[in-house]
Amino acid sequence: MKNILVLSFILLSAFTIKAGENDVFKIGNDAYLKNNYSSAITSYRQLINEGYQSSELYFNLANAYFKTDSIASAILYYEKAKKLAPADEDILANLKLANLKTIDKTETKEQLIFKSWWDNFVHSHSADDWGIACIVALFIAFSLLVVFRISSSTLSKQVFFGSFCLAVLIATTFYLLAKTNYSQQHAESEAILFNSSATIKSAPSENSKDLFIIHEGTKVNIIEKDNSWFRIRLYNGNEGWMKESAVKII
Amino acid sequence: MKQKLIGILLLVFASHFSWAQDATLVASTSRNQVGVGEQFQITYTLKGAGSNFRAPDMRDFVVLSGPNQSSSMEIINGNMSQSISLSYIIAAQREGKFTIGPAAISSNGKQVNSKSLVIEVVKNPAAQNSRNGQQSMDGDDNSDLFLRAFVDKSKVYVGEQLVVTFKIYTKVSIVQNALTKAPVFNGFWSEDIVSPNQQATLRPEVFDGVQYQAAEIKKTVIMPQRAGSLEITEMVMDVVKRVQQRSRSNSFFDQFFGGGYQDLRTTVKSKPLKIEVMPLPTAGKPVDFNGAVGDFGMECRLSNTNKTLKTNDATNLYITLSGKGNLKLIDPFKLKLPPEIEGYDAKISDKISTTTAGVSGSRTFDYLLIPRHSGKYELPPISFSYFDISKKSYVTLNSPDFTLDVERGAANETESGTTVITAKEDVKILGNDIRYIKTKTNLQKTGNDFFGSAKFYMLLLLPVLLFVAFLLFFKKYTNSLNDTVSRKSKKATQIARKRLALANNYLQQNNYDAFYNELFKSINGYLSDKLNLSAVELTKEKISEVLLAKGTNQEAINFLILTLNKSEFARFAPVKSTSAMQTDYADTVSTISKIEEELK
Repeated sequence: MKNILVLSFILLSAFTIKAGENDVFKIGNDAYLKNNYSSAITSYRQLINEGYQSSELYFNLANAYFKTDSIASAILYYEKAKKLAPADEDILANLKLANLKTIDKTETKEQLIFKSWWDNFVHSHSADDWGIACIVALFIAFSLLVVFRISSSTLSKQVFFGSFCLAVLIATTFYLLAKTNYSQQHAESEAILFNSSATIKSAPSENSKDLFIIHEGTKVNIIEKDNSWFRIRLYNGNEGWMKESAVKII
Repeated sequence: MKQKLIGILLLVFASHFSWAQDATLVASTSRNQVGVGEQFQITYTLKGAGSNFRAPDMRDFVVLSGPNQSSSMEIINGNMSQSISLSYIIAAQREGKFTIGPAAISSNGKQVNSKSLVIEVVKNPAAQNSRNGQQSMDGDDNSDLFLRAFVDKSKVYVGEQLVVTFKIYTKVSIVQNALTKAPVFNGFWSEDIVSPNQQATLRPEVFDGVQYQAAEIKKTVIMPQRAGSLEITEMVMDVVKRVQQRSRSNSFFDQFFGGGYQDLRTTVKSKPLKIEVMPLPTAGKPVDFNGAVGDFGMECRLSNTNKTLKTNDATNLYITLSGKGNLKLIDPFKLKLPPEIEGYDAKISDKISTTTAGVSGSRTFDYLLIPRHSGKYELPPISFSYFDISKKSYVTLNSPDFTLDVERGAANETESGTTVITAKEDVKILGNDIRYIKTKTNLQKTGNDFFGSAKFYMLLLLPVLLFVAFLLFFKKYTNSLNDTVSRKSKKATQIARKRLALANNYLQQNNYDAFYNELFKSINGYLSDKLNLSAVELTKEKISEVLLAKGTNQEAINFLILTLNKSEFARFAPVKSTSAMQTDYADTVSTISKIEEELK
């Protein structure tokens, strides 16, 4: 038991962050408060370039972009924040406001309350946290199994085996939560248009027929990739091909 | 503005006048360009007192008539001015450019000179000869009648005032005039001082050295609204002028009855004007600058300065801007009122006059304010910025802070005995903005995810491996434990025998206490070793339970318990009877051998 505790402590401490990063985050927040949005953007971007992420970081960066009227960037980072925290009300509210500023109509799916609860729960902790919880639960499960093996009386044997089964079930749940969180975070099926407008073609070639035009800030679903072309689908079901360079993947 | 020709006084030019005024002597000619032999008139007009007129040098011309004197008196706005004119009718003899030298006059002992006149004499002017018969239209020869447009400044800032004047100059009498095309002030805000439908009054004026009768047709104050080169388009007028007919049909009656006049219809046009408009400097432009240009003052006051206000009582905020400039273009202020005070749109009242000096006066904005809730409210100071033309810089005027002390009004108070249920108010939405940033976060490194890595799956596998290792270890441990138990149980019978032999010794010696002590030890030691139980666990219940589990006969167990009870009782019995010792010994031996039999 003692070994397990030490191990999980080491694992947790490996994922805690040095104070320096949080200071940079705070500098960005202070700049935002003083309406100095461009320097706030610089601070937040610095963190992202250093390889950090969090839904709050993306949310704040998106807010700063919104304030400087860079709507496409704002939407991109609201969507990124939403991927990490799909049911955060602040993110959804601001994303809605940002979408009002785009030219193209965007659809906002009304989420079921149960779905938003579930999303909230899945993203209340990171995939890594759920993974660690899964390992800890598995250690506990097998410790219980050891106790079960040692104990001689029938009653205690029953109790410990039942606990072992429960612990294994909990560990499996943690694993599934981690897996869901991870796959939602790493899904790269959506993108935001950054060009002021883009013509959607019928095939992945410049010579093909023009189908329709979308404007800056519009979200598209990427269905497949062919060289430097994306096959995209709009919320209303319209499909077509467009240049990869015109969009940024969420 | 009346011109009154008092009369022609045949005065000697040298007569002097009673008022001491600086005299001016103006020379003018009826035409600057004449043909050889053509008659024209030159006039010297004296304004003020003077004497001793010296005629100009006119040696290149033939004086046909003159000097002819005339005198006029003018009273304008109560100021009287008198002028005396002296005219000559002369004719040129040859072609060329000739100068008629200055005339001079003495005034208050000083000599006053007129300007020289330059006359160009051309050969046989066509007009002179071609004027045969009647002419209904007088073409473009408008030297005796023209329209002139001019401005007081041609380079201004955006919003700066300037005055544009349209003046008609004539040497003939005008019977009728009509405006056919008004000038367009494109890019200007304009306000007429003199408009074409007003009665224009002709007054003598010298322009380019030529004497005309002139009248202002239109005079307008304009303010450019944008920078750049702006144009004022031409003004076109239709004029019917009366000219003396130069008919050669020497009808006596015509001449005698003055029938030698003809009305001619003609069109006069002014030249378009270009105004250079400079943009206002961007350096130092205040944020609240709203295009006001000129020189202004601001006064702000509340209508209730001394009494405190009650809720739902109205009060007025007056903002008065006064001065010179584009007052009419100043928009109402945007008041930053606390949400508890209801503000209404401003009522604008103007006291603005437009004169030749420009637009000036005052404009008052009257804001009606109604406080809806009690409390002490600070009204933010009102600031007004304008561009000062003379200083060429921006000026910002600030009002002092206003404090509104609002008491709870009677309407809101609860009457005694009754409950007043006031309507609930919705929370007022003051603006719509994105939600504020989040201040707490848990930053994570991207790219080195723990979940899904090899490390993760190894750790996931670790408990299973540890458990397998435990099982192996546990099996070995139990095996060795079983070995000691079997060794103990083998030795148990030997030890029991030794103890029973010792007990038998004590039985022979009739040593009661030692006998029962040894007998008890022999049976307990045997059971302890045989059943692998510690001394603490060695209770009768436990013993019977373990023996039953090992499949021992119930009868044998009962006999064992009985024997145990008996020996225990005998050990602690107060009366020591030696008679039972022999049977107890036999019972113990038999029960041990019975158990031994059962456990095999």
